[in-house]
Amino acid sequence: MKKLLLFAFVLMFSNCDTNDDGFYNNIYLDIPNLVTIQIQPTYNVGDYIYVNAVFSRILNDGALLDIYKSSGGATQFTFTYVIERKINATTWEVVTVNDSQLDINQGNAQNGSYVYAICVYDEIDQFYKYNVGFPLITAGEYRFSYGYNSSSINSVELRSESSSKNLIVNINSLASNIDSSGFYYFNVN
Amino acid sequence: MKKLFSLLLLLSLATQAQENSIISNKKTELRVDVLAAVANTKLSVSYERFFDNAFSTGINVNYSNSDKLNDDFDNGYRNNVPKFEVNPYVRYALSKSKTRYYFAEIFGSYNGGDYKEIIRVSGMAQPDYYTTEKSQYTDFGIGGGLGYKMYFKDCIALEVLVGFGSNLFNREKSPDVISRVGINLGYRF
Repeated sequence: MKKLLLFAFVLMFSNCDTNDDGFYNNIYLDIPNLVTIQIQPTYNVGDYIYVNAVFSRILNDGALLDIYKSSGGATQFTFTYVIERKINATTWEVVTVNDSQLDINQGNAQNGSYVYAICVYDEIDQFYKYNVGFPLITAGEYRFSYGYNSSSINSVELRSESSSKNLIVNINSLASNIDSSGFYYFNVN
Repeated sequence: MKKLFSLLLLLSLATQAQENSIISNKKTELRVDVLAAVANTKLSVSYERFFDNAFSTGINVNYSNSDKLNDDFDNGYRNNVPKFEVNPYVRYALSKSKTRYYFAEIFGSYNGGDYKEIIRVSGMAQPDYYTTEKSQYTDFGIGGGLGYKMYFKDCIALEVLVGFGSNLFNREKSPDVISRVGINLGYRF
């Protein structure tokens, strides 16, 4: 009987091994410069730092590609970024504000330990749009980086919010105005 | 005391010999996999033919249409979903007893199901787009297994089986690993 129980035990753990596990609904694209920081020469307390992402449903990754159709009609693409302020010689602190303090011109955004940026599809001109300003409340040294817990340094990772059975379009977009460590540094006076 | 032990031993051996003789005269067995039916919504039936020596041979046929596997397939957690298997096998009994014994088997598996891949549709007047394309796959694999079988009332079989194998010819589409894992109830006649 003990041997039978041992068999049953082995059987329980071995019965999970017939799947070829993975995730098979993802497409990965490389398309540069979809997201930009609107650079100002100087920033003062009370200003905003704006992030802009306006791109067509038809992109070029070597040939014209319809990302709206590929994602099964996803009406949102999302990405993240982080804004930090220097609090002493070696320490940077993530700056958080209420969602209501964000200046949302196009798209949508949610703020916590990072800004969750939502590019919203405009059916009229068939563009995905995001333009949101982050308030600079305190003077000091700041730095901006794309991606929360992202492995990518010099690019933004955008992802379509596709419904469950549709393909998810992931776009790795090379970003400008950031240094080799992935930061854009600026001062607020 | 020694005589009593000897008598009990003789009685036990005689009983076993009688049971072995009864079972040995029944050459055919039909089984249903209870575990597959309950856990995987899979219909699995087996036929086994016993020879006078320690060998037996048979065939197992499975059909599966599991909602969970179909959902995982549709949601992209797997790129194939097995539907049917036809598994011919040869077994060798590892124990002397015919009523409770371990066995080893080798099996072949002709199996098939649905396969899904992402394709880029291009070469038309409109921009390219990605979509998924479903097709059917078939493959043939081989494997081996170990099991334990016991009989009640000289005809009711309970069998536990753990076996694994590998598909050979179409692994881009078919599952790499094939398994024969089950708890079977059967009737020998």
